[in-house]
Amino acid sequence: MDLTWSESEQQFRSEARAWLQANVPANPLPSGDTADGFRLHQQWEKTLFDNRYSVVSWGEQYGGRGASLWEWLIFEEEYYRAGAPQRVSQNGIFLLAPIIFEYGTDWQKQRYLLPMAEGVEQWGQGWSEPDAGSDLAGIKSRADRVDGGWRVTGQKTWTTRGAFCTHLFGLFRTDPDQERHRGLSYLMMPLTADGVTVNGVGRLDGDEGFAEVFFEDVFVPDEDVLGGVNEGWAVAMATTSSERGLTLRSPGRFIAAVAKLRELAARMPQAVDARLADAITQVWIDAEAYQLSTLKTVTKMLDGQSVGAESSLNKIFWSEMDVRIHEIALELLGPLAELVDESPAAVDAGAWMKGFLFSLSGPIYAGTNEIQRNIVAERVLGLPRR
Amino acid sequence: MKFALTEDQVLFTEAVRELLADQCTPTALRATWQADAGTISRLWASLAEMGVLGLLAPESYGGMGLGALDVHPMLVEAGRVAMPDPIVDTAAVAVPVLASCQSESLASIIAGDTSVAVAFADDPVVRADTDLLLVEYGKRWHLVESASLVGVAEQSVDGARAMASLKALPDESSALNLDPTIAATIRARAIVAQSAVLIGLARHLLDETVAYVQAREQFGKPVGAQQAIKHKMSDTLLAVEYAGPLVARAAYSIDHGDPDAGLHASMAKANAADAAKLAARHALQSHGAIAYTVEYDLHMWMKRVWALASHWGTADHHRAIVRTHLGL
Repeated sequence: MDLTWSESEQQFRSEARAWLQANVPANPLPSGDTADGFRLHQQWEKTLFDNRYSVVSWGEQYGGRGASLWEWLIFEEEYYRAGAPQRVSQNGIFLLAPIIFEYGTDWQKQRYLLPMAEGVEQWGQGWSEPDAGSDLAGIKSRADRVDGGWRVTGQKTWTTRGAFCTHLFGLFRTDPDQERHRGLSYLMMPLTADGVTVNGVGRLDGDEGFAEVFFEDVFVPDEDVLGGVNEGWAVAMATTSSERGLTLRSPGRFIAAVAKLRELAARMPQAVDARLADAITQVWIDAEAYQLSTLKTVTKMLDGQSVGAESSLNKIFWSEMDVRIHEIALELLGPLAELVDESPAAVDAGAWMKGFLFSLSGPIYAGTNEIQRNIVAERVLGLPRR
Repeated sequence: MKFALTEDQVLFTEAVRELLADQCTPTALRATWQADAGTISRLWASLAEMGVLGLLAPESYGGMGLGALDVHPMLVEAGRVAMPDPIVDTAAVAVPVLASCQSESLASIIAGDTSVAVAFADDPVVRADTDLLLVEYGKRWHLVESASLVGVAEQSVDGARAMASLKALPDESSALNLDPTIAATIRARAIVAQSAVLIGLARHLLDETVAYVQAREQFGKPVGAQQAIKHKMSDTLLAVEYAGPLVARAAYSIDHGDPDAGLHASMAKANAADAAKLAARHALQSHGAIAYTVEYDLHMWMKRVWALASHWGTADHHRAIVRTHLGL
């Protein structure tokens, strides 16, 4: 065991820290899940890209630095520490890109990765449907075989930032004779394609970035099938395990969130009773535990061991910790907790209530935590499915 | 950066695990409940032979010159079998401390002829079945014959723990001449080692319960197919998995002289004790009435958890230490 960083890793950290300090906008950008905020975030993504900080772990030909997983973790830690903007590109760079790297054709890599890294093309996810949520294998949206490609008909829903994205990836039924997780394919398409309709839906936190997406005879060429035809389930599972696991929620985010919570407590000492002090202490310990556990996971990954269903454990842990961090903040704020946005007396511009509402999505998306607990019980502990 | 045990550490731990599986059986454990001493015959000598007791002593004393990180996975194994012998006190605490002051008792301890229990100044009761006591009193540490201090026997809920009140306090003559930097690590060493045992106890409780609910059928299907049970098992695993790295990190901090080693130890104990208590609660509930009997073995593990979770500071006590560090 060696819990120290090498000289080059420390060098990488200080360069990233200096760059972020000089470049992170002094005032927080409006939410990236609103129309105006999204455009500003897209500009920020371009700034990151121009300095090769948008996708540090990718190869240089795709705009990255070829950074190691350790350096990626360091960058994430510095990124959140600097209070830098949310990554509106995350669905593309963290969820789709790893799949393109693993399953994509050369053409797909050349066509999609660079504009994604630059933030010019923004990707939404097309998983959930009105009748297929946690039970994702119930997907009904279908793609019928036509000359040179597929014709897509159906509906996707709860697509994050779908109202602003340029592209969508997701699962569609390409073999109507097969059921459940068989006969599905992973397709990519521009949301500007003929036959696509995107309707924004207001979210719990008031932002309009959610969307439902309708498809009416939308043509998708063969070259935009990711992985094999009818092999979409396996490809998608690779996505969701990265969504549940390491890539979407790096420990730096929670270390930074708990640091902010401690600052809040320091600003309002009269509100910190013994119970809240204990609760803050526990989430601080938990954030440290999460960070250490991530170091353990990355060590395993670099050793060539698979992480697999353990990513479900990871998702339960961080998403519930995130809710607790924000619940504690609201209790500290007491009667000021309800104030949001432009409200003159709002503390931190109402960021804690906003963050609380956002945190509540964590235990739901990428498969509810109830489903994750079933997965852990069945695939990690070996309990019977039925 | 590398957060994993080395191959040597893994192999040594596997050997210890095999030895424990062979000698520290539930039957042997049950027998210690009938006796006055919490020791299993032959086991202590076997551990001495294997080098486990001297793991943290320098090679010049016939030890292995290893550290807290090396011994901690073996203590997880000791917890897994609910080993009653004073391995935490003797191997993980007394040996490195006594080695630092060239104690003449060390050779006999490493050889397995002498056992030691550790008692902090604020401990109301101490372990009564060892030859020596390493006891904190008047801000100093003393090494004394247990018989000279140990008074009336106390009854623990864990029948394998022979506890007692002290009838006397050590005098100046038994005070050890300890380097203050070593003395400052004693509490951290004890807490981390005990936390490793708690992790092992929790893992056993989880494994046994998973095996039971796979086999036990009600309403025509395994109890473990019920979502309510699955979620209890997942929550136990979650708690144990995220407590383990805190324990390993604290052990690493001790070995590297990290000034925060004590803080890291308290973080480890807070989460390890809570995880083990959760494991015990879920194990009992998921087994049902069978685990509410003393005929069934599980109670010996649960009672060890309930004893250790409070001994040397509860989770709340250790959180309070962390809280103070955070300025809250």
